[in-house]
Amino acid sequence: MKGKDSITNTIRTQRFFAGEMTQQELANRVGVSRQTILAIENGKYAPSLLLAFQIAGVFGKPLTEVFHYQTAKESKK
Amino acid sequence: MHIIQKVSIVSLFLNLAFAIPLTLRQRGLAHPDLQAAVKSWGIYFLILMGGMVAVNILAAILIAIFSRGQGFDDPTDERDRMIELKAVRVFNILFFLSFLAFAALMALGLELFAAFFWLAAGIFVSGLALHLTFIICYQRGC
Repeated sequence: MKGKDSITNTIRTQRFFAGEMTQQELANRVGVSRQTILAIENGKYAPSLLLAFQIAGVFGKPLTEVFHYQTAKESKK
Repeated sequence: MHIIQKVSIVSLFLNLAFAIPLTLRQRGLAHPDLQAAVKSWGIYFLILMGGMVAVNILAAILIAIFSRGQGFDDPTDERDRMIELKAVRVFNILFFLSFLAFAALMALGLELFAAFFWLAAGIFVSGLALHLTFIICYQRGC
């Protein structure tokens, strides 16, 4: 069966370096629910480009440092 | 657990508790003529659909009471909208298919009871699928 490409992220690490920012705090700053942040962190939901930019903006990082595109081949490795 | 997930779980069970006895009762009713049978099924569908809406509202009220309103003030975001879209799509597809099957049964000249019973089952299953989609999508992603 052909695998799916996915988007991984470093939100958990970024929150740690941002003074252990809570999921709720991040959610409030980008205007989504805490459950949505949790789903993104766990890779259960791929955010829209707008939301991804907003999240990266909260940490003051470029988008590519917070979100990574991973092909099915790469995830198998 | 997301608040919509909780409401969907309660709705699912309340719908089962409401619709199954109602349908079994309808099944057992005998109608002397076609006019009376059609009227009876019309009343049944009004009760079924109105009841399903009422049950969903009741589920939301019950969850609001038990969770003391927590989670209801969460903003509706893009993930909620995407899941809702998928759930509505699943509902629409199943409802359309069941209506198609209902029309086919009528065209085949099957007994009125069988065709209406199929339609009722279709409406009911579509409603359950809507809630199941909410539960699964919030739990595992979709």
